[in-house]
Amino acid sequence: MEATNETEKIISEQLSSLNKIDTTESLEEWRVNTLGRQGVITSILKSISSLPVEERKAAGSAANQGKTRLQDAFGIKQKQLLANASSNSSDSIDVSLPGRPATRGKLHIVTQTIREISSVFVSLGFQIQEGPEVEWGKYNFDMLNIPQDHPARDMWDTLWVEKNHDDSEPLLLRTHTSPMQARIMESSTPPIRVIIPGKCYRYEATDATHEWQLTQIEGLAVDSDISFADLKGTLYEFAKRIFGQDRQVRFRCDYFPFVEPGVDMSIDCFKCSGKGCSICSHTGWIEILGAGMVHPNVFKGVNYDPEKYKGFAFGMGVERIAMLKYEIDDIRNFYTNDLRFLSQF
Amino acid sequence: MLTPLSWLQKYVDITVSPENLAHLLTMVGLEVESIERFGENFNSDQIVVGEILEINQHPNADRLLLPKVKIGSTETVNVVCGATNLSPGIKIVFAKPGATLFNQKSGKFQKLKASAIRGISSPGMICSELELGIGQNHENILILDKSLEPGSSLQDTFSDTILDLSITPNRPDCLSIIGVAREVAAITNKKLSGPEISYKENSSVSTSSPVEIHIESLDLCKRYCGAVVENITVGPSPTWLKAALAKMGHRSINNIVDVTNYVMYETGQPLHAFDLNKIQDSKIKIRPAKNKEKLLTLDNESIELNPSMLVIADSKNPVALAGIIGGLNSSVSQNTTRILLESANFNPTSIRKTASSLKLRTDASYRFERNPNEALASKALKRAIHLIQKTSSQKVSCGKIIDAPETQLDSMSLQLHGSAIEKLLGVKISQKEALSVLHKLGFQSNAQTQTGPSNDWAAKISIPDWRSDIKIQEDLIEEIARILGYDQFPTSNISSSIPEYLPNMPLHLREQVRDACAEFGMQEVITYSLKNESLLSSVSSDDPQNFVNIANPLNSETKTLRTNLMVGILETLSSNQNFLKEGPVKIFEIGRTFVNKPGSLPIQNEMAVGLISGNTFSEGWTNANNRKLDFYDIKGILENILSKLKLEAKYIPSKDALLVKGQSADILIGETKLGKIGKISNHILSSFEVDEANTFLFELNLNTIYSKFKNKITFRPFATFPTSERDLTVLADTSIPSEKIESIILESKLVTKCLPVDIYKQDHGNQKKSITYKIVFQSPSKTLTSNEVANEIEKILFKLKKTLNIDFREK
Repeated sequence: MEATNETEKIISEQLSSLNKIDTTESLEEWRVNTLGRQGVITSILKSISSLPVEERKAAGSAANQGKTRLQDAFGIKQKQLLANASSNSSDSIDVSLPGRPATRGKLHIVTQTIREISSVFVSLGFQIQEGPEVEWGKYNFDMLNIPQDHPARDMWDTLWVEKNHDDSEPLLLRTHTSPMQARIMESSTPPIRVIIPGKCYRYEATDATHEWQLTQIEGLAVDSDISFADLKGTLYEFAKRIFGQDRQVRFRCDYFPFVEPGVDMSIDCFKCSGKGCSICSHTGWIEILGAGMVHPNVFKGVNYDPEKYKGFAFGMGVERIAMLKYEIDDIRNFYTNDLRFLSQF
Repeated sequence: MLTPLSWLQKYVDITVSPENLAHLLTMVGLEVESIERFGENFNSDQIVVGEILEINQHPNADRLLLPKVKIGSTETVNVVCGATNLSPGIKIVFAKPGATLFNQKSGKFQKLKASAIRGISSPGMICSELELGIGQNHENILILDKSLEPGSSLQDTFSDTILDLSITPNRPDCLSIIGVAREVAAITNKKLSGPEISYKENSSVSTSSPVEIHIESLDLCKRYCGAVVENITVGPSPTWLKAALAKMGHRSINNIVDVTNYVMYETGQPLHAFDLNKIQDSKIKIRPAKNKEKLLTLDNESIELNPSMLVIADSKNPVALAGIIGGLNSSVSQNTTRILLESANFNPTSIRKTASSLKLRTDASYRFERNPNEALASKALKRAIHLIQKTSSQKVSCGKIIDAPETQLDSMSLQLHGSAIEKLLGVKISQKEALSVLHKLGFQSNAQTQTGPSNDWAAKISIPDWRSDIKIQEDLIEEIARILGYDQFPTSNISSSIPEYLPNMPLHLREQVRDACAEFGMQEVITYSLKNESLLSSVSSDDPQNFVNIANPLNSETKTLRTNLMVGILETLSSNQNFLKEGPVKIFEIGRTFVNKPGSLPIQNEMAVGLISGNTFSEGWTNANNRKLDFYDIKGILENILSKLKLEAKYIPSKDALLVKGQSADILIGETKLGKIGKISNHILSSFEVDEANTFLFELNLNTIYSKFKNKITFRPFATFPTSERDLTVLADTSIPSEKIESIILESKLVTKCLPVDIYKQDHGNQKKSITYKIVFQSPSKTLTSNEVANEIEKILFKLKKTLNIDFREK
């Protein structure tokens, strides 16, 4: 068996030296030394006769198999070197030149951001719904515990639709996606876990941080055992996935008429890590979204028993999230549609 | 709400830094928007109290004076001054060279230099409010209290740190210094001390100045407290009062009006002072205005009233617009000797409606709209009387407070249960902890023993009168949560069951269309949904009667909701025309369109529009065959999109006026119109100032896709026998669409594919075109012989001749 092992060793040594060869001259030299009349294979085959009879058969077959392998490898190498030789000259191209452009379009950065945010919530069991952009006043305000002539209405400057007939109920461009909270609860029973992306409109003068057309994503989760802790857990998870695993979040008290308690969620500034910079107005924190536990009056409006059901709701501005994420300094870029802007994302 | 810390400090001991205090307030819901330093320049030795000893005329200028000012126990200086309100003996603010003052000419704060004015050197300056940076008055110099010592510092009076708080609409109580102090006391565990409200009452006033108050509608005015103050002397306010108002950004008027404003900022209750001599018959009537009745306001504006507005009137005319602004004629002036002080509570809705219809928002209306508590009216009135007596001469005498109607205020209470807290917040809170938080905020409690089997607890909570926002148990729970700190509460993942899945097919399909549009080379744009009405009607086939218009548009460019996506996409092309130099512009938009539907919400269909413009040319060395984009470029994109959705469409010549006739088509799925495709007419392009004529678009009604889409795909086995290809050239009338010829060829069971590969028009006597089709023959069951293929071609030709009168054309 010793002889057979020795043969194997020699064969693999020859194969590895073949691998390193890159000229036809050295390949010929290798062929003579390995497969030639005076080559190593010939000398192995010659040495077999000197072995004990019982070992000869195995040693012979190992040597012959090895010879075949070396011959095959030699053939492949020979073709490789030939192919290289032929492509060397006039066929070569300048690989540094740019390739032919394949036309490709991109999705608007707002679409991309909606999808990114949605996918987080979808993976947490939320489903996506949408609603009308022209909405009845009662869904936009009254059913969200914002009565007529209440100062809270100042929080949403409204574009009203011209009355054409004597519509008793005023029509408006929805100022937020929250009307869908009421619509969804009216038409289904808990458990509910939905997000609602969509356009909203405000009667607002535009500047670097204000636009009269904007995109929001609303969220709503309702069941018999949903609590403030679930609100915090869900939104924390969202913040980490969108802004990074090591983000810190802060929940503070805020007021929205359709929730109680009301919440404002901030993340620690990813630019300055909380030290204070212009992005976070030197507070170290950046407001991301408003949220809260669904107000019992909202439940009553859709005939849910506020004793039985609890829920949380949240809403965020898609443009704001994109502005923070991509350091966009002017919200007006989103709908000016300059291709120099859009093509960056 | 501006909150100077020195003022806050009067009611609560502040032991944390301004930054820390701002953070604490923000966390409990009183967001601090900024921390401002006020009167920082007073922190130096260069700004001191000065006393005018004598006033001389400037020798070289008629309008300039040369007062001698005492600025220390012995030190005096002569400076040049142009003000007209100088008189010997008054105390003023004196700035020495080196002091930081506001320079009106440069608009900046600058260091004062000693200089010579008209040949007289002036080592310093007597200052106005504007120069000191504490107000807008620059005509007169600021006059200080006589009691101040020349040379002394004014730092404690004027220099301050001010928190700018954003107060949410539910917290009218915090539109006051005391309200903020109450929150500070609760979150920093300090005691709150209220302001002094004691005053001397003189019973003889009711005889010398009897006043009659009558409320016509208790709905609109729940409470009206009034008090007469006699023997007053109207004059400048004391320095501390001027400084306090300056910090609130408010102008000092006189010692009476300033007190009413001070008390409003302090307590949140707006007050008003009438000159009682100007109130006809000393009668006050709170009544709706008469139609077209007029009032000249304190701002010297004449406003026309109507019966929806509430006024304060004397026996003849309105003297104030209730809760919003006083009238000029009854206002306190230099000659006023007796006043009626008003502290009332008006209906918030009525105030809000009146203020917004007159576009007249004042500090008073802002507070009344938010429904301040009724109990405040008498407290604030007492505080105002106290301050008037404190800051005026001894002679001032005040009558009994007239409270109309005699009000009995009920205190409200709510039940609070430990189990409710746990259910809402997801964590148990002990009764002791919960009640201790509420006590800090001024709530009172009455613990109850629980009668259930659980270890639940309950308590009856009395709501303090200033917290009219607390109406239900959840409000109490928020109070507990916000003071303990939201961050202290646990987080968890939703454990309730995942709701039943409801497929949202329209959304799914729309996003597929969106992906396909981008995939096949177009950049997505999102444009405004509101458009210029006439521009929209120029590209809309809808009757403008059916447009949805905005009643209060921001401007005429954003008056009408779009009925299609043409305006937006053409505007986007127009503004991006520069890019046509670098290559084609290919863009698309997906969005809602709006058509009026009386008595219901407008029809809000989703549409998609794709547009390509320019040449195939793109910059760079690879660009070899540059040609103009054409109809078949946009059609190719559309076919790709539809094939992704497994939809097959027919294209028939369109008569759409926006598109070039002969280069446009209606897109049909079955018999339903899906949209249109084609070259855009020049007149449309020119109205959007687009110069590139090679501009094509398609527009799809996505709702048609939603209704026509069939989700099911079934696998079809494919034949394995060899195929035979033949080219067949036919000569047909130009009016016959290729699609018709193809469909006849494809009727043959042996034909698996038919593709037009060459087309040319040639005048063969009567307008013919020649088309070559590559036809692939294949049998599902055997290998076709060339004879069999030839026979099948014969059959096809026969059918073409018979149905469309098409001739075979020999090569």
